[in-house]
Amino acid sequence: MSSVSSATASSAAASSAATTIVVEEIGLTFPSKSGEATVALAEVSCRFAPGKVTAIIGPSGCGKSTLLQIVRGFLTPTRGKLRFVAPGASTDANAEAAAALGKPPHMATVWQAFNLFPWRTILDNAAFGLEVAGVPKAERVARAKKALAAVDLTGFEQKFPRQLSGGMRQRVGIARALVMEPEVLLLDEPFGALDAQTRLVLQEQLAALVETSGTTAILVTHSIEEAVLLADTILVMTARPGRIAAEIVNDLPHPRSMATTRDPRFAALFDRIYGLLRQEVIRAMATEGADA
Amino acid sequence: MRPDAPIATPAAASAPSAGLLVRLGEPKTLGWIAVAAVLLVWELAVIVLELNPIYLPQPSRIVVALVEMFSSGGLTKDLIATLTRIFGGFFIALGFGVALGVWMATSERVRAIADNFIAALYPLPKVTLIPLLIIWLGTGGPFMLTISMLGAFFPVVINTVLGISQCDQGLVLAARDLGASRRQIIRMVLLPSAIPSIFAGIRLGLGVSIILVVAAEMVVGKVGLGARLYLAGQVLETEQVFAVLIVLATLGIVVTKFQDAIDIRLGHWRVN
Repeated sequence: MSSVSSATASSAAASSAATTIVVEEIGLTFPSKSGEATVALAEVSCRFAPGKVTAIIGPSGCGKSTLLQIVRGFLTPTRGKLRFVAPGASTDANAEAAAALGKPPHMATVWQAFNLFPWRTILDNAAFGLEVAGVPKAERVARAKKALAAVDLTGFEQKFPRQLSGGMRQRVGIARALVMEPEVLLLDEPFGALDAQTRLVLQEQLAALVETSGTTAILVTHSIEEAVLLADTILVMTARPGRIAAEIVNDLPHPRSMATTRDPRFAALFDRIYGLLRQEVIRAMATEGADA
Repeated sequence: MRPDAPIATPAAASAPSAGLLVRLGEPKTLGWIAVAAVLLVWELAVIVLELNPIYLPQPSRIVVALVEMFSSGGLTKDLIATLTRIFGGFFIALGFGVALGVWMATSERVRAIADNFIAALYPLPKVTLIPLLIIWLGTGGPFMLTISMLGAFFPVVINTVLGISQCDQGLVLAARDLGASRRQIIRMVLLPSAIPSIFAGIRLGLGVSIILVVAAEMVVGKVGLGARLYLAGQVLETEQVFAVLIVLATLGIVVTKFQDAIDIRLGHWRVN
């Protein structure tokens, strides 16, 4: 997994000329039949820098996955603007370019529930995106095999998802996204469904993969450790309705591994984020209690 | 597939006669022994009680009648006619049923329009449509295909809609994320995930098609197993009646086993 295939290398090349994703005062409110609307996201402004990993961390139900779905274009915000700023263009909201929302970069998602197609072999799962894009069979098989090799799954190409462990399934999920050579990798609680040990190993491997590929990544997570290990910037969100409570720059040196967790600076960052999150989680629990 | 075999083997080694008994006691063997026993009792009862063969012919005579009907009585022709009607109508139903099912499952409007008609027509016993269909279509091939199609159509539609509605939305999102178009999502995600459910519909539907075709043949057919059955009954050829019933029962077994085989093949990703 430390040796990244050329499938991901070309996205590294792309990162030098990658798009910045700018979220401007975005909010999402779901109307409800009782008349009382649900505010999933209050008002969020942030920026996802190209070639960097940004983690979004916050209590359950704060809307962090919602924000990810908005960035992906699967949910339409009820307020605010989502802009894609091409390299060279000014990121200033008042600039001429601000009128245009820009062209969304090529994105691919890794899902908490893996979302592998159970009737497809591991190889066919990894090749799905290439297949729908019309890539010829020989080429897509070669590229999917390379991507699977990058996540140490050589030899499992003809298995079905059900025959693999959770950790292996998520590695297929990662390969399936990386084979698309995305400009932006969206990670929606990618290790949330895995046991603690598998999680540790995969976090370390993903950190290495993302570092070498140089892709922009947005990581939604519950785990402070995961955020600090993987991200360059950490956005801490408030309890519902979600806002950004703090933006923390993580300048721990790369490459990071489990050894990084013993760095005193890691502990300091961890404590700082935990301090911010603690009140929000307590607040979230209180609101949940009031709702019930 | 003999769970008791490891226990039975040592006994068989120690005493040959006991071994035979054990082997006869195996569930599968026992099943066939029971069938043989019933046939034997039947055969003997008819002979001993001197029953009138019009009411109950001997099994051996039924077998003779069956062989005769196949070799010189044109039963092959009837069988082919019936099979053509059943499967002709069934495949039309499968094609249209899956297509409508997909359309209903992916468009709320189409679903709203089709729902009421299906709610009205699905529970209606299809045999009650035979008189109306004869008025409209006569008694020839189109009538037979239509009645067969009606049998399989509704179970296929309903199960297709059900299967697609139950598709994990996460898979649809994942496919969209990877760039799949609406059409590709239907073909590469919704349909494959609905296959077990569609197959359940096929099982139900094909069963109804068989019933309807045989029933229709009994009412109006000149050829076909149903017609043969009815005519044999009319002239009190009870042996032939039983012979046709055996053919129909065998047809049912073959169809079921064939479906099982396809089901296993298509569902190979579900094992383990």
